[in-house]
Amino acid sequence: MIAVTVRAPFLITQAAASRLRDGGRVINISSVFAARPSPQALAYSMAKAAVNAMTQAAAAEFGERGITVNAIAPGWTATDANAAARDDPALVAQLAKDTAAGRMAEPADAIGVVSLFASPEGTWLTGQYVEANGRFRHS
Amino acid sequence: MPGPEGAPVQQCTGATRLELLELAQCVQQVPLVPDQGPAEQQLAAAGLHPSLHDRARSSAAAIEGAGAIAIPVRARLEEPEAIDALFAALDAELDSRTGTAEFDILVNNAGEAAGARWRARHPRRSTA
Repeated sequence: MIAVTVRAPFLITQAAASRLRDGGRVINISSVFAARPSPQALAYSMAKAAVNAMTQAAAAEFGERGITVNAIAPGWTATDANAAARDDPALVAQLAKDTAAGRMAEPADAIGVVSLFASPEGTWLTGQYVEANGRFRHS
Repeated sequence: MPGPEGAPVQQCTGATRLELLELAQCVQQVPLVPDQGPAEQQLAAAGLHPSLHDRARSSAAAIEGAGAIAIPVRARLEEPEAIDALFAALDAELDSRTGTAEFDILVNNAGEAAGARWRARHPRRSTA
């Protein structure tokens, strides 16, 4: 868990730092659990909180090169990584209930914020953690 | 796509929304695939979806079709040496295609979602 979710993005960001052009972008996929840790997903919560800490530190580190570093918390998204949840009607219903928007997230729901992070309009946006998840709150 | 000095650049910053989604999916999918042996067997042995590598390749093809560069690289991210190898492969391929190993955007998307609950791991000690 920590090796894949924390150490890998750290090592990759470190390696990427010498390859990213000035004005580049680092976009970290975080989780709602980073800011709202849950005993149901303790290690995951800890791991994603570490990703948020890295996001802020890297934003400070790379800022003078015009590289922005941001994180998005997409909520429970219907991908293969969440297949067990996606394919469980009871859990899908629960997730819908726990989301102000009334449904589980689709991958495309992350596009707007990720695009903003990546775009020229995102130049002044750095070190941020954005919960783009239809206001999901795990119950 | 030619850059200011005639060298091709990885055209991510100007990518459309769809391309960014594809990029995110590609980045998510590629690093999870073990880099050895017949893909399907290795994937099955690792408990991974056998179509993952195919999907990574098709995402990469979609990104290429949109005019950007996408290089699928397989690596076991829990192994630091595999990350070194990932960048070595990326450097070589990117440099041969663009004349530089530089790129514009990094998306850290791979992760492991297993829960690792707290509650079940700390039974009360008996005070008797």
